[in-house]
Amino acid sequence: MRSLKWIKYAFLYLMVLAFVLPMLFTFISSFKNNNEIFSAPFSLPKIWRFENWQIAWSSAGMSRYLLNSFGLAIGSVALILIVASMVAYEISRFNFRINKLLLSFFLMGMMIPMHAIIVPISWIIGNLDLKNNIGALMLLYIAFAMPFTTAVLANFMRAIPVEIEEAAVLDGASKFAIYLRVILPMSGPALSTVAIFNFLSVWNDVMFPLLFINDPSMKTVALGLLNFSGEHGTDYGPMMAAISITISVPFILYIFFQERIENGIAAGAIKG
Amino acid sequence: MKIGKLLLGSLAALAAALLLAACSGKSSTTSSDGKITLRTMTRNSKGFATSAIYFAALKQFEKDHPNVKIVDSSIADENAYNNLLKTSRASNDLPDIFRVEGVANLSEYIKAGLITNIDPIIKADPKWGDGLSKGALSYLQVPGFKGTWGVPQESGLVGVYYNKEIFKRAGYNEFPQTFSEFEAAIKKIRSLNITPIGLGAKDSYSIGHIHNLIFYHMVGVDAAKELGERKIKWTDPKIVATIEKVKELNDMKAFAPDSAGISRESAFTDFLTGKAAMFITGPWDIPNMQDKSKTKLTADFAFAKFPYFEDEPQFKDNDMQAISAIQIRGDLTGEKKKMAIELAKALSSEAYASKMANETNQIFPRTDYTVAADKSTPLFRENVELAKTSTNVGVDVFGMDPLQSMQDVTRNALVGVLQGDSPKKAAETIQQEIDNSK
Repeated sequence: MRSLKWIKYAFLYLMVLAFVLPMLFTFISSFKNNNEIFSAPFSLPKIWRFENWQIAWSSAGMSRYLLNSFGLAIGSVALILIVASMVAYEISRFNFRINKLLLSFFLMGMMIPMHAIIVPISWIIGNLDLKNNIGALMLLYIAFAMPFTTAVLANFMRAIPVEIEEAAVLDGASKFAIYLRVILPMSGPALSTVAIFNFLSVWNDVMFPLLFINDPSMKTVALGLLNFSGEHGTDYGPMMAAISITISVPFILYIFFQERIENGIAAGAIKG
Repeated sequence: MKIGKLLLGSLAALAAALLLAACSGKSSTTSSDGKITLRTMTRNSKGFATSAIYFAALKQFEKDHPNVKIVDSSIADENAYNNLLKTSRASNDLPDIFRVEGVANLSEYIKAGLITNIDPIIKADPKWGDGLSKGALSYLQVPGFKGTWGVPQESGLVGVYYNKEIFKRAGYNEFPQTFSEFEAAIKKIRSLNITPIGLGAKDSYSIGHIHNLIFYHMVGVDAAKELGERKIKWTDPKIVATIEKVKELNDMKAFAPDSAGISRESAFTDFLTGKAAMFITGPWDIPNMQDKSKTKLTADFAFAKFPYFEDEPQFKDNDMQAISAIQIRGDLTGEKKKMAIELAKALSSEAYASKMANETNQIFPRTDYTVAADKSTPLFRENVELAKTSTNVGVDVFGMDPLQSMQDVTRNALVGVLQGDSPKKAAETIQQEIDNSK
């Protein structure tokens, strides 16, 4: 029993190392130049080049990109949750003829890879003159997030006891009130899970901003990271500083919402 | 119910905002203040000396032409750039000035009327046009189409930058002239426990450039054109032999054992710190090799042409040069077309070329600029002098191929050879791509 515990802890420490070391490497490398990064990758810098952070934050525009990404991700996630939770409620709690077909329709959406339809999307965006348009970008994120988010939420909502809903009906609650005051609060764990998942998807996405944003003032962090690569070389020190800035946001969010996220994942695992 | 109303209200407001935002896209022709909007897309990126000159030129152009607003969406990363260009083209949303890799790829754009023939522009403005290098212009003349299909931007010999001190320790006072002498030198350098050639094939163009040099010196630049015209095949023995030479170098440990997995930057650092004796690249790396804050070995570096094959002396001066160009969108009209042409000229003027050469030691394909003696480094001068000996010049072998996927296919096949694939298999993979496209 004791050795089993020892193995468990050893495994956990290994996992911690596997996740922390890359972040530590990125952070330490952010104070080095290319030569130091490649000739002594794991040593501390001989000279701490704080200017790399200054370059990343100001000259390369990461401060602006950070705000852009944050606004885009928060806005997209809020809309995804509102729309998908309504659809999921409809699918999971109402019995109508095309109920199952509708869910299958959303599930089928998960089978379409983004790259397969990038050209028609690009054609539409170009012809409707919707480049450099945050609203259009949000619509795309909502469309691509709907299948997964709807499936997870519908699955979760289906497991909520019908009796609670019936009690609300007896109290005179309308359908919308039930959705808002009963189903949504009870779906908190699932909503947290899909919120985090979608936030990270939008935050890390390069493809849509690359194709549909060309105004430098509207770029996102993921797109901004490409600024550090030149045609014939890459300035890794400032790039590592920019990566540190980029990952700091999900990292801080995770620290704040750690409990909720973990509960959401656990609840999803049991009820999903 | 208050929350419900609030939620409904927010949803309606958000939907309205989205719709309004979605419908109020800016026109790509004119900006809201009535200015002509020119969209540019190149491989420049912030933070690099050559790019700084490019961005400064864009700003200066806006200053000189108050009726013009420039929106630049340049991306240096090759894959990202190619994705962006492909989708822009597919969605009929090409920028006004952009860059197409390779010459044969241009034919698709020419057929669709998407790029401008610059011959009439050269004729109309000889002061600008006559200064452009004839060799670079001829590279942009696409077989089957009359005209010159781009404004050249960059040139210079791709060859071998080497560490003289390491070569001296290996017993060489001069750089080997022939390929067999080159291989003998590699063995001696390897015996010193030094990596002979720094190669980071994770950036697959590095191995692509080495193969280009072998190819041009073994079978000549014209063979690449014949491949593109489908007169010969990648599986022909003489072409397979060029890939075999890559394998030969790899087998004799000319590169570090993990070269297929490391980045080009990592391999270059090995060269700058004396851990590798050679680095095969173009003039764009000269500023780094001469920068004392990046390397202590500035005085040890020298430049040489890639060795020739004794059996093929006729291809001795068939060289690889880095020639790139910008294209002007072909379907522009009126004032916008005029401004796009003016911008292309500003990005290839004598003043622009002079800045590139004097401030970053980059070779610009013009013949009418001078470089101040105190501004030119020995490596830059050696590159310029040796470039004059080229009798036939090619860029990338795949650049002569009309199939756009050849860039990835050829480079990936070469990386496969470093990882153990046979040259025959690599050649078959490349040829299969061509056969499948028929």
